[in-house]
Amino acid sequence: MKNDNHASHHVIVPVKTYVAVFVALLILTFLTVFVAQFDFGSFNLLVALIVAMVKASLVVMIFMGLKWNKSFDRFAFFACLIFLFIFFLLVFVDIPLRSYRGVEESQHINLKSPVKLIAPGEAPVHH
Amino acid sequence: MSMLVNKPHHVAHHFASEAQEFESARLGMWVFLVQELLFFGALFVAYGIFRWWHPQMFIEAHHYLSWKMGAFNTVVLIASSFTMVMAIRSAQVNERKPLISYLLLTLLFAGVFLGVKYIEYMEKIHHGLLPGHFFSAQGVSEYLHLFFGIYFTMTGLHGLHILVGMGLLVWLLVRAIRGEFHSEFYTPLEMVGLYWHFVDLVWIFLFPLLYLIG
Repeated sequence: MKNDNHASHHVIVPVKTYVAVFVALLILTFLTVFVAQFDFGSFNLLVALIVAMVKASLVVMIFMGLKWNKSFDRFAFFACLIFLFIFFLLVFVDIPLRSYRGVEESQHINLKSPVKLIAPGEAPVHH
Repeated sequence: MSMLVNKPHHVAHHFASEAQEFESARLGMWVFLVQELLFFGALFVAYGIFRWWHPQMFIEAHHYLSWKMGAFNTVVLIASSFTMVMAIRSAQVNERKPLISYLLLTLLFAGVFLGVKYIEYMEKIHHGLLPGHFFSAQGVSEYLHLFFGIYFTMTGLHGLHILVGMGLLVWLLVRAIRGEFHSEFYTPLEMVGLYWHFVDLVWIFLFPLLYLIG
C-alpha cells in the first residue's frame, strides 16, 4: 500500500532553481523601486503591476510548485484567476463610466471628513 | 541519538495511500488559498475604486509611507519564502538540521517583518493617521482618511496572516524537532509552505500599490 504512487508528489526541485527564483525576485523588487523614481504618468502603475505579476508567477509556479503540480489544484487556481479577472473587468469598466460618485451620496447622510484641511504648501513630507 | 530517528507516518484509515492523503490535503489547501485570493481581490477592487475617484489624494497619501521600509519588508518576505522552500526541500532529502535551521530563519524573517510593520504603525498612530473617525491629522485633500482606511485594512489583514503563519511555523518546528518530517512524510510542511507563499504573494501587490504611487 505504501508508496504506490510515490513519484507523483515527491518532486525534488534543485537548489539552484530556488536560488535563481530568489535572485530574480530581488532584482524585480529593485526594478519596481527604481522605475517608481521616474514619473511616466499612468505608465508607472502599468509597469508596477506587470512587474508584480511576473513576481507572482514565479512564486506560484516555482515556490508553490504549480509548474510540477498537474492535478485539479491547477484548475482551481486558474479558474479563480478568471473569475477575479471578470470581477476586476466589470468594476473597472463600470466605475469610470459613471457620472455619479459616492461623494454626492455622502452629503445626504451628512458625512463629515475628519481631515483638518491645510494649503498644499504646508503639507508635511515624511518620505 | 534518538533525536535523529524518523518517526514513521501512519496514513489515516479513510485514505487509500500516502499519495492520496497528500494530494487531498494539497487540494484542500489550494481551495482555501483560492478563497483567500478572492477575498483579498475584493479589497484590491475597493482600492481601485477609491484610487480612480481620488488620484491626487493617493499621491498625497503615499508620501506619509516610507518606501524604504516597504522595500525592506518586501526583501524580508521574499527571503522568508526562499527559506520556506528550502525547509521543505531539506525534509524531502532527509536533512533534519537544515530543516530546523530553515524553519527558524523563516520564523525570524516573519518576526522582522512584523517588527518593521510595528514601527510603521506606531508612526502612523503618532501622526493621527488612523482610519475612520479616529483620523485626526491634517491634509490637503479632505479624502485623505480614506487612503488610511484602505491601508490599515489591507496591511492589517496581511499582518494577521503573518501572525497566523508564525504560529504555524512554531508548530512545524516542534514537530520537525520530534522527527516527524522526512522524505516519506512532510505534508504539514508543504501545506504551511503554500500558505506562506500566498502571504508573500499578497505583499508583492500591496507594496507597489501602497508605497510607490507615482
